[in-house]
Amino acid sequence: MRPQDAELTKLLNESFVPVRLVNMKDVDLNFFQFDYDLTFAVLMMNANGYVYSRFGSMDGTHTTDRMSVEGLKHAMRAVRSTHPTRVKAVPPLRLPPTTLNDLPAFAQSKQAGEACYHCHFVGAFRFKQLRVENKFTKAMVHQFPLPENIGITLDVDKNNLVKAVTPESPADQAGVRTGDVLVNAIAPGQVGALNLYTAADLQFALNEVADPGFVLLHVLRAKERITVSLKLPSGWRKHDVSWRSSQATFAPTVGVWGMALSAEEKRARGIAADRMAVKVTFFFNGPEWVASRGALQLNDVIVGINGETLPSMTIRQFHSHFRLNFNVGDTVTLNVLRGDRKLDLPVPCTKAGDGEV
Amino acid sequence: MCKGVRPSLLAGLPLLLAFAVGLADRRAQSQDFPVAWRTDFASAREEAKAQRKPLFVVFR
Repeated sequence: MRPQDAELTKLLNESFVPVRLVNMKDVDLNFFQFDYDLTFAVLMMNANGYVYSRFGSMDGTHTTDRMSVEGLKHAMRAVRSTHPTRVKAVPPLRLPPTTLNDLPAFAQSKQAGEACYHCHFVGAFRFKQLRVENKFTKAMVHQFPLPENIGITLDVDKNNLVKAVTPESPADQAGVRTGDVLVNAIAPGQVGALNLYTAADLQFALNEVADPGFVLLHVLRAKERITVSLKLPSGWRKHDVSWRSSQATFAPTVGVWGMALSAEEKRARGIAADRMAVKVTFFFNGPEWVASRGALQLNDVIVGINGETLPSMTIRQFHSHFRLNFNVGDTVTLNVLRGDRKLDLPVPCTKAGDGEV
Repeated sequence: MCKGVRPSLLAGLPLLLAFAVGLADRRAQSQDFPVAWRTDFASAREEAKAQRKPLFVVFR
């Protein structure tokens, strides 16, 4: 990683001790708590492990629109200013060290023998362990809810500056306003307030909030500190988690890969631009996948499920939708276009791919 | 025109040259801003303590 930004490099070299960790082997997961599904995650902390801020955020669009170098520098400057007053601060809750190998589901996996442990192993194997213990629910995949889940859009360059508030959202109803600067969050059951320097900090705080639940936010408005209490309704945590490795490890999965049709291709086939149309381009290898795709053929276009047309989605979103809405043992009807013909193809929900990381 | 050389290959040469120059430029730029990444967290932590600096830990 070689940043091509002189100020960023100066901040890293002069104001911080920069550390790069690429292997989660022996890493204490209670010391380094973050969203392990991310491909780029930063923790800014003091030497005692007191975390000032987290940086790194993604969504189902697979873009980097939620992060910017300006935003990273903004957070680093804020941490640099805070550090002298918190240099001896300690984490509010110190949990005993734990590593990936302490998870039996991981210790018994083939990945345990690998030289390099990836960050995404953590989320995937935590779910796997919960499933072994019959404690897993599908709702758990909605980790680290986005600021938009509570009605807040943050400024990508100024991190904790509220750029927009969705009308009628929990944030709007609680009185959060455009231009507010988030300061910290207090969630029920959480020890101490969490600093909110970045979107990732807010997501980390929201991750502790139940569904339904509530959270207190402190915001700055024209230099005045204001407390707002957000009531979060049932289902508030749900968002597009199709990009997360952790949710791609359980059945059912239709054993195909595909590509969403372009707007032009949809028009040519009489499909509305905002509706799902995923063309099957590849069959997963292996006999275990054959039953999972029923009579689907290459180049079939999936346009609905059980007679319902769904919003436009990518193949990842299709798989995510399928595994979150159906269970092994169900039979699902895929509505398909094959050439000019409309077909309803029953697909059995099998165990193929279950537990694979 | 050089004998035995396909015209399409000749046409591609300026592109290749531009790519090579761009790559060299990009390399030079990134070498202008090297970051002294530590890879051992325990010693980085001691360093942070001694220098009273915060740690910037990136997982990538």
